[in-house]
Amino acid sequence: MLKFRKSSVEKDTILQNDILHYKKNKFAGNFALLALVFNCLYFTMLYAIHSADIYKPLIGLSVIVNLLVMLAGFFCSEGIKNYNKKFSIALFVLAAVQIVRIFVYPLTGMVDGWMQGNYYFGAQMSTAGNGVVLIIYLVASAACFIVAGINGLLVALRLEHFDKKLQSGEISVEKELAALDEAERTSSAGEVNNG
Amino acid sequence: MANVSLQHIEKIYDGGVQAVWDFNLDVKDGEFIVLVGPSGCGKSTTLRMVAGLEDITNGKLIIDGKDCTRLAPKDRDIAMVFQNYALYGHMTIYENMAFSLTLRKEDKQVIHRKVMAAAEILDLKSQLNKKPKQLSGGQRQRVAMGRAIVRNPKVFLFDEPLSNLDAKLRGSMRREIMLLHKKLNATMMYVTHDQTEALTLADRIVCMSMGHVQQIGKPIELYEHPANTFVATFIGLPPMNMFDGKIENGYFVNELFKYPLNSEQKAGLAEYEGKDVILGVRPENMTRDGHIKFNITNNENLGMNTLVHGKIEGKKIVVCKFAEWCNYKYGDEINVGFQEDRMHFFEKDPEGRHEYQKAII
Repeated sequence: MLKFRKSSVEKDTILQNDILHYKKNKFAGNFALLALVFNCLYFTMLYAIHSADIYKPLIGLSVIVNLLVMLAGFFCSEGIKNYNKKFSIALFVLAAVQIVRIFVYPLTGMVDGWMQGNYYFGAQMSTAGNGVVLIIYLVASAACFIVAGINGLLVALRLEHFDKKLQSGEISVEKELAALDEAERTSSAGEVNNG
Repeated sequence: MANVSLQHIEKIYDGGVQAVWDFNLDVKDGEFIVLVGPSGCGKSTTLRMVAGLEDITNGKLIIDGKDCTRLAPKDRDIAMVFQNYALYGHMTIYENMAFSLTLRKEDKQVIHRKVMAAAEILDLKSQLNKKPKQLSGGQRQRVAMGRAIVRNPKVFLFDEPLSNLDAKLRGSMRREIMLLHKKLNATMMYVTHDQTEALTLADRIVCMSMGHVQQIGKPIELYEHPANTFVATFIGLPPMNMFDGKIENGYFVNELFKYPLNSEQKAGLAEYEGKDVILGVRPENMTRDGHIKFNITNNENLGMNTLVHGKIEGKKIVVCKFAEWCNYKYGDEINVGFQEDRMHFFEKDPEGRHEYQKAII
């Protein structure tokens, strides 16, 4: 029984891995896009803060960083969908960038106090409140980048390993499909005989 | 696979236009039926009624013993391949083929096995990661067929699937459909206005005109024994030459020529003595050993044979198909005749009550 189950699991793995050749890694790709959504929420909130103190030369750098994160995030989302593990590394870098950004605006804003009196979604928020929301957005964005990166890396490595086995002739999808078809024919013939 | 029975099927659109009249057909399990006819004859409407895309006004549709007349299309277990492929442009070929099974929430591995099996049959394995716009017309049509195959339906319906392809590709796709039918041994209904497709693909042909079934039979039956003048002129290329005339004392007579009948024809036409009839002769059954004067107007060499257009006695336009290379020029005159055993006679209704004249012999 155990042997049968093990064999069945191996067969499942072969087909599951073969499916990867024809399907994109939408899970990782969508998580990378979700990270961009949180990034959008972050910068829209940041730029919506009505305080003259925010309009300093540093804001220009922030805009550029945002544009780069959005662009790189989108490219990584597409790359990771196609099981390219290099993009996983890029996603980890983007996650690190988002973490570093926590220490630039949200924290400095909280310390300097210029985020006080912001109206967001109709509610007046304190400096600390603004800062916490901004930090949450950045952390969520980084977390999504990390999840996408880890998933993308693991699946890409799995596919790479599977392809190596295929090329070495250790396993064969055609044989597997033929065996499963044969098993199905045998079982359906058995059902007919029993019926 | 399944038997399909269409019993007294009729389609009347809002406004009273009747597209199909009393359509009766029993399709056997694994049979390849081709509905053929000119545009607007009701063949696609009939197919769409089988698919459930059009309501059946009157009659019954039975699929595998089950009354499907009022059943929703999704519950009929039928797959249809359209002329315009109807593929999703944003999906890969794999995703297009797997789409119907994904909607049914089938197991991913089952879907994979079915898609791979269909791709193997249709030689699409190397194209599975591409998008439809990256494929040729023929490949796209194969994908559309693959999408039907993965569902393993009871009946396959094809609505002019090759009409968008060029002549060469149409020929190769036709052979692929024939092979597919042999591999799957599936019940298939195929609509076309191309008689070549009908003659080469069909186990049986349903020839339609103006919403009426004109004849149902094997391709050879429709070619050799057309039921009426419509089938006679529709099946065969170029169409059959038709001559109005009378039967008089063992001859077919008209103002252009007098042609002797053989004993078999005399017996078959005995009751038409002195009556108007129509003589039909296919261009390939015209011979060059007769006594009828034929003035040539056009000579078309097709390689294996030659189409010679001209007029009999300078009046009646006729086409001859000779199985050799000919070099006639405009104005040349030759004598032509008919292969005796290949002459078709049809009733002539002097009052014009019938749209198409029935075959006599």
